[in-house]
Parts: sequence; C-alpha cells; structure tokens
Amino acid sequence: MKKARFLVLVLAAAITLTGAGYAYWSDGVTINSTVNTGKLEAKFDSSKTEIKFNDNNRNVATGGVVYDVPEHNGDREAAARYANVTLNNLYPGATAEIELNIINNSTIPVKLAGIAFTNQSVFDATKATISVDFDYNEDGVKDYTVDDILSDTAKMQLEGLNNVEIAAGKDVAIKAHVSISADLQNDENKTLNFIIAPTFQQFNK
Amino acid sequence: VGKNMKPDNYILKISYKARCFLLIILMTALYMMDIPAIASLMSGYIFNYILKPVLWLGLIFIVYIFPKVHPKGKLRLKSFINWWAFNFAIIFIAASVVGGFFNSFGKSPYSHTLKGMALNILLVGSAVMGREIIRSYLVNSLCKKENYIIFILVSLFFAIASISFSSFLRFNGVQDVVKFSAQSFAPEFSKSLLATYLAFLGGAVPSIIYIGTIEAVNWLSPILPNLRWITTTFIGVLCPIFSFITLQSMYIKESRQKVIRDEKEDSVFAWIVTTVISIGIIWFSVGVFPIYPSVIATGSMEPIIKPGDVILVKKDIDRMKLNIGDIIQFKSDNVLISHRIIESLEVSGEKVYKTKGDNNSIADSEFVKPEQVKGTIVKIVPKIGWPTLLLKSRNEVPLEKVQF
Repeated sequence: MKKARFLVLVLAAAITLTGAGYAYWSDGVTINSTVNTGKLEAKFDSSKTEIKFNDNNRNVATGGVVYDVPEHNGDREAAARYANVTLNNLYPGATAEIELNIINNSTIPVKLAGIAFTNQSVFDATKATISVDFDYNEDGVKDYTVDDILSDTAKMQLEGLNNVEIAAGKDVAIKAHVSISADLQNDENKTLNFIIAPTFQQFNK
Repeated sequence: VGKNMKPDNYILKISYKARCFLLIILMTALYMMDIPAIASLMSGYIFNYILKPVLWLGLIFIVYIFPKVHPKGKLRLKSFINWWAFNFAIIFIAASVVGGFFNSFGKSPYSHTLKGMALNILLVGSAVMGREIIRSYLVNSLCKKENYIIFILVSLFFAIASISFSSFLRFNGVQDVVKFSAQSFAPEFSKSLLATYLAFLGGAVPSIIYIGTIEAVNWLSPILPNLRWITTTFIGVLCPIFSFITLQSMYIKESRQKVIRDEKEDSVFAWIVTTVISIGIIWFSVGVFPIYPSVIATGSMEPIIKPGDVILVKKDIDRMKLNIGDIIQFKSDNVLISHRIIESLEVSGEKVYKTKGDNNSIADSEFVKPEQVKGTIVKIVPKIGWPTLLLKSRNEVPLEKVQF
C-alpha cells in the first residue's frame, strides 16, 4: 500500500513540474501566434526535380512531375504548392525515387504544418508501396520517414511533421520512393499518379 | 526424496527465468522490427496486417505451451477483478472525454471502413493480446507476492513496447524530450502499471479487458478527444495510478472474509482529491490554465490595484484588438507591468498600444507591442499577495522600469 502511495507522489510531483514547463513554453506560443509580419511564400522549387528509376529500367517506365493541379490552372503561385507526380508504364518490381524540393522564399521561417497525400491513380494500392523521407537540412541524411504513405498510420506520422521549421531562404528535400510489388502479374503498363501538397504555417520564435 | 527435490527445484527455477528471458528477447525482436530499415524491406500492408499478427499469435502459442503460471489473486475474486478492469477502462475513457470538453474534439485519424476497422482490430488486437498474455506470464512467474521492483520493471518494459520505435528517433531539443516523456511515456507507464497489477491479480484476462477497451475506443470511435499535451499527461498518468491504488485497497478489503469498514477506503479517496487539488493549485499559480494570478508590487495603478493585491490575468485574448481602457499585463525587459491602455496607434505599419499607470502622471515611455501583451486583467483580489511580496522583496527589481 505505502509503496503504491509513494509511486503516486512521485508521479504527481512529475506532473506538477511538467505543468511548469508547459506554462513556460505555451507562454511563448500564445504570444507569438498573434504576430503578423513578413511575407509567406514557401513552395516547390521546380528546378530541383529528379526522377530515378531502377537501374535496369531501360527507359521502360517513365515519369514526370507537374507543379499544378486543375483547380489552380493559371495561378502559378498557388499551383507551386502542389507536386503532381505521374509514373507511366510501370511493371512488376519497378522502383522509382522522386526527389522534390521545398524552398522557403518567405522573409520569415515557416513551419511545415503537414503534408496532404492524394492517390489519384486507379491502381490497386496494395500493389505499390510509397514511402516518403525528408531531409530537413539538405545534408543527404534522412531526418524523417513515413513508411507506407497509403496506410492509416501514415496520417498519424504525417501529423508528427509539424515541428519542422524551414528557415527563410532554406530548402527541405522530399524523396518519395515508389516500389511496385513483384506480384503485379498480368498487370503491366500501369500509371501511378499522386499529389503531394505540403501546407505551411507562419510562426515566430 | 528430500535430496532429489533440490536439484529439481533448482532446474525449475532456472527454466522459469529462462522462459521469461526468452519471451523478453522475442518481444524485443518483434518490437525492433519497426525500425524503418527493417520495416521497409517489405510492403507495409503485409508487414502490418499479416506478418505482425502472425508473429504475435506465435508468441501467444509459445506462452500456451509453457507450463501454466497462475495469477496471485484469489480465484473467487476473478470476476470482481475483471469487472473493475472494465470499469477502470470506462473511467479512463470518460476522463478523456471530459478533458475533450475542456480542450476540443477531433475526427479520428484511423480508417472507419468495414475493411479498415477489421484490419485495425487484427493489428491492434493481436498486439494487445500478445503483450498482455506475456505480461501476465512474466509478472506471475517473477513474483509470488506484491513486488514493486518487478511491477515497475515489467511496466517499464511494456510501456516502451507500446510506443512505436520511430517516436524515440525524432527528438529535437529538451522541449521535445519533456513533451514526449509527459505525453507518451508517462501515461503509457501509468497504464502499464495498472495492467501489470491487474495481470498479477487476475492473469491476462483483466489486463486485456482494461487495455483492450481503451484501445478499442481509440481505434474505432470516429470522434476522439483532441487533448493538449498537458491534459493528456494529467489524465493519462493520474487516472490509471488512482485506479491502481483504488483497486489495491478494494482488493484487500474484498479478500478478507468479513467486510470491515475502516478508514482505508476513505483515505484512498482523500489521497486522490488531495493530489488533484494540489496539482491544480500549483498549475494555476504557474500559469497552466487560461487564467493565471500575478502579484502586484507597486502602486502605479492605485487606487484600483494596490501593492500586495493579486490580479487574475486572462491569456486567451485577441492581442490585435485590445480596447482603450483595458488593463493589460505586458512584459518589458523581463519585468511584468500591469497598466491601462490609453491609446491604440500604428507606428511604421505596426500596431502598438500606449499605456499608463492610473496613478502615474505620464504615460509609459515605450509603446507596447501586441506580442509583449501577456493578457488582460479580469479580476483583482485584494491583499492576498502580501506573503509573496515579502518573500520577493529581497530580489532587486529595476524600479526605473516600473514607473510609479
């Protein structure tokens, strides 16, 4: 009995201290959330797009990225926040690595609030695995990975992104890895089309 | 016979430990599979919905072929323990819902198609069953009577096992570590501790009931409480640990043949109330809630606010739309000042407020920017801040900043 009470005391003390930390940190957040300064312009940098297929692809599968979606036809600023990726003529065992780049052209740092991922293709989702990794500081080291973007857990993982800060003028590299299941029998010449749309949030330190 | 007993006993003991060790190793291996490098070797679908459930079932099978270990609670109290395991799960869920009313509710991120739900039940259900059956095996093999060191070790092990491996890999500074410990680790530990105690008393069934009910609501309910991390910590840690001490005291009472009413029952309740109130008071004073208290040290706002009065400051306000006449608290070079807004201006395109203490002859020399504003004063409680002032008076306050 007494030992259990002791545990309660220890945990309660820990909670109390955590509260102090929360008050201290949330203090900053409430104040800063009302500040309005600078311009917010974070978007994809279309000059840094690259698609690499598996080594033995021999130009069979092809692909491209368009920075546009139908609803933003003409509005290039808005469209540049959408990467519309299409991979054509896929076959069993094909893999592709799509490298995208988000640049923060704002005068202030922005936070990546989340990434919306829309699968546009009429494609059996169980036959393709799409994982996405992020390299926040462009040093070639993966900083964050969402393993299976089509799974339910991916949504949760993408929520975990909201701590990512992109300083003014800096980039974040996003690499999407697509691999087509080897059991895609009699199912060649498939097209995979998905849209990656990051959302940004302005904040101040 | 006596001579032969000893080596037999010895082997039995060793093999018990070896079995526990084997289970721990196997569970760790299963857990380590979540490392991105390993998980990405196959499709997420096969990995999550086929391989993992099969491996959990394999572990359950291993426990099944092991010699049985019995829970240490009284057999006649089995249904009592199961019933309370369910009640504690409901209390936990209810507390989270109440927390949701204070914070907010959100749409569940999990799939709610029939197929999605079935797959999630398979994924989560197999893991919960596997974990709880192993928990029960470990705790009941390793302790004969209440042993807190074993309880805590087992609970720690299972708390870590129920947090996905990748969440340990994304810390970004002290704040992240504290937040993670408070929001994920501590609540998991507390829940795990209660589950361990339930497993100790009643075997795997009550701990599956407890964890399973909570997980089922979490994965299947279309709407979930969307709690601030501090609320998650508060409910997640306190609810299971209070359930733990309540269960303990109820079990002790029930396990006696005669029901004796003593003060112990009340003392658990008193403990819970005292703890909650103490945390509440301290949290209020450090500013966890939307309204926090602040002691006034000078007479610049007399006669409305006198030195030694406590003001209640409301944090949750629109700082861009404060009115002339509002008394605000703001920070200027680390000194908190509470003065009245006398003018709202725009200086080089930015909104600023001109402030003045009621008792001062001139306005404050520096304008207050919205981001400096901590809140508006909603209530003044006279005189109760004197003790704080006496304690603080030793610290030097740069008076030229305060402007009488």
